[in-house]
Amino acid sequence: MSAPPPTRRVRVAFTRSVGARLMAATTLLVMLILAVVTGLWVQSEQNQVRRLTRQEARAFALAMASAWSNELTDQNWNQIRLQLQRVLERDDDFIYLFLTDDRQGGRIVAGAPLELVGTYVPDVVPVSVSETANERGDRARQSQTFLLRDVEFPAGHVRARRGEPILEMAADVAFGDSRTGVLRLGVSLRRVDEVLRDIIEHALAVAGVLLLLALAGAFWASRRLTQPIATLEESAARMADGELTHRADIQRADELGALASAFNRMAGELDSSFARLRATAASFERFVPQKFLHIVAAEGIEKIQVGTHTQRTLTILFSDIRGYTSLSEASTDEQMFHLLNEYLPEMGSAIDQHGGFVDKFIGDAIMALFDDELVDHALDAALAMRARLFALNAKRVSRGERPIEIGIGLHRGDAVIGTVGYQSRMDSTVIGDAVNLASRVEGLTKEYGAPILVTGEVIESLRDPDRFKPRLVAANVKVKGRDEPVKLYAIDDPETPRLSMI
Amino acid sequence: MEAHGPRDERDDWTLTVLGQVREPQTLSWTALAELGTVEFATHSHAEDLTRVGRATRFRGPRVDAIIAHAGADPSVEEITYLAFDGFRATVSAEHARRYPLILAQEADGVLIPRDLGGPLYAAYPLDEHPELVARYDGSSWVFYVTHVIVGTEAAAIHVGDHTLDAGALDALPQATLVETVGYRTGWPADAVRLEGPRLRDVLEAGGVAVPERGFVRVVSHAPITQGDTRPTRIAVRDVATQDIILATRYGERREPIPARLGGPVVLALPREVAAHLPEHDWLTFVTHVSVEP
Repeated sequence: MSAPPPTRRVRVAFTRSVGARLMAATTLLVMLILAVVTGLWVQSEQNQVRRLTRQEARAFALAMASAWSNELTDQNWNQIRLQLQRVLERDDDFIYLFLTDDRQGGRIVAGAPLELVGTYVPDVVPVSVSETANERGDRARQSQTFLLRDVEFPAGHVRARRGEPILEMAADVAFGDSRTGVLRLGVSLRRVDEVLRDIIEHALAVAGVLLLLALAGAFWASRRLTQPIATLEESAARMADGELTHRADIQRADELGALASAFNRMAGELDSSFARLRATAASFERFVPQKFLHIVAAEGIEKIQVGTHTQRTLTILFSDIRGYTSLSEASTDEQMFHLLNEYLPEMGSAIDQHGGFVDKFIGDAIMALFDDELVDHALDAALAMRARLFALNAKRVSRGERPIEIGIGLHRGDAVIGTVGYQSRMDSTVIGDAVNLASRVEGLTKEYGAPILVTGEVIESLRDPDRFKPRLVAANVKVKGRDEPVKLYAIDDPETPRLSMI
Repeated sequence: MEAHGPRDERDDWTLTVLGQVREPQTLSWTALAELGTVEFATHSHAEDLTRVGRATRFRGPRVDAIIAHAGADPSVEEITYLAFDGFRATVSAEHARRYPLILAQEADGVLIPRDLGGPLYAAYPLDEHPELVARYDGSSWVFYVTHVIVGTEAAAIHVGDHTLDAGALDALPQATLVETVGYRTGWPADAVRLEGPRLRDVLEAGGVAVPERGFVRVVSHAPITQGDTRPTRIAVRDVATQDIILATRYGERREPIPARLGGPVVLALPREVAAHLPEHDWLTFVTHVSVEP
């Protein structure tokens, strides 16, 4: 039975592999989590920064409103203006800072930048912001808005541009229980945006690092999970290729370890089963020659059927122990049993070694077959049988036992090889005239005094007939069961002199 | 004097010259201009960022011309500017004669708005005369000047239908306070001895009865104290029970209070009263005392 071809390893595209899917799922999940966390963090920081900015602006506005209360009451507007300028000079986040005087109808009496002084409604912010600022109350009033125009301070230097987001904080200036005016402070949110940009950049950098770590972790995790699977796949392929002793080397305490253990147990059972099967096949071969199985069961003995047959041209060899009957009468059954088990292995080995196969043992008789191209080998086998017999007889003599003689007949012709019987009891057989003739020729070895007799068909098929020096002993012999006469040749082997025919 | 709005402020603005002069004068805007103006360019004090790094051209009448017009005593050594809000600064009379110290009406050819320190703004030719820089720093650049006081005027407190001069004030029972004062400039930072008649005694001397309830109104030359914008009103309970005085002397040597410190008469408050009054109620240049409901 021919060995199966090596199992083709299945190559899975990376993008479709379990590992890739695991990595993708893990990465997507991590990205989602990072996006949510980053978004929440940035939002939180944004709110925090804006809240702190509002708090600082509110505290400053209330403090300044209190500080300039006396000055505003004294209408010391110019002194207030000088101080407001200094405040703006020292803090770039302040865009504008001014006071209105209720006694002047809400006119801006002191402020920076200077162009705001003298107006009633500043043109840097929407009117709604001024309305909110002028509401009365103990608490500071805030408005988040945008600048309506560029603001220069000092002159010639653009401090803030049109459209820039600002936070305005307004606080009442009071004298006693009466409000005398309003302080209004415009704070740029540019710093807030810059802080937020920094926060976002840091958040993205951290998120990027975390994502890389997540990718590495996902890769490691997928490898941890898929490596044992790949090992099992490799092990399965090796077992399919015939390495039944192979075991998957996976030492884990999880489900994959359990799977590997189950796989190895299965492998062990398979190995045992195949070992028994091999033993069975080996034992079977003792009864059915391998070469015979190749002919009638090329797809394996498990598929052999009754009636399977094929016609082949064969060289058929028959041998027989001379005087076996009388010998068996002079011996015990056990002695004959031992004789056969000493004799038959020698003969069978000689046949095997020369490419033939023993079809059957019929008591002391042997029927062997040689494929068509092995004609010369058949004669070599016959000569080898004679040589082994010579050696066996030497042993028998040394034991005080009678030597034995055999006759060997060979014929070449067509025969049918197949299986006969029924499903529960099957046997191999070779049928044909050539078989019968070969048997008849063997029977003539004693008559012609030739230990080895072959037919003309054998001699005609030899590749190197001179090597065997065939001697024509009968040119025209009528054999029972065959209409046409045959030629018979004797093959003499001077190295193994024949015993006198028993 | 009312506060000033966006209309032409110069119409209402006047400058009063008093003190050691032949006769106190109140000059209108036009009258000031007719005294003759002087112009100079100078870098202003560093506090005004609108003028940092560049010279400003100031134009206005010379102070010495102003006081000369009022017949100032030539022996006077000091001239004090008094502002709308009560701020004051003193210049050397000698400097006023030697240098063109002016009360500027214009800056860079533009009338100076009230908001920016006008209409009358004390200016000094520092670029032309750098020797003046050390003497006339930022606090000397007085805004919204309303009075020029030559030397120190004679004390005169108007109470009811009476006017109490220095002698009348000295004749009243004197009280003494030793307090950390709240006057804006020029006074020592630590406690100062102040002496003068009690406010209630001044009222009585003027024939004004102190009611059981109400307020005593104190007015000074500073216009801010004269209207309803920021009156100095002291509860009669405090006047009756506390030693609130109109100080005429100060220090251990009991010196008369000069104009450069806001004299001749200043309102002095004991600690107990000052604690619940605004700081600007430490009035200088006190002129009138009355009772209000």
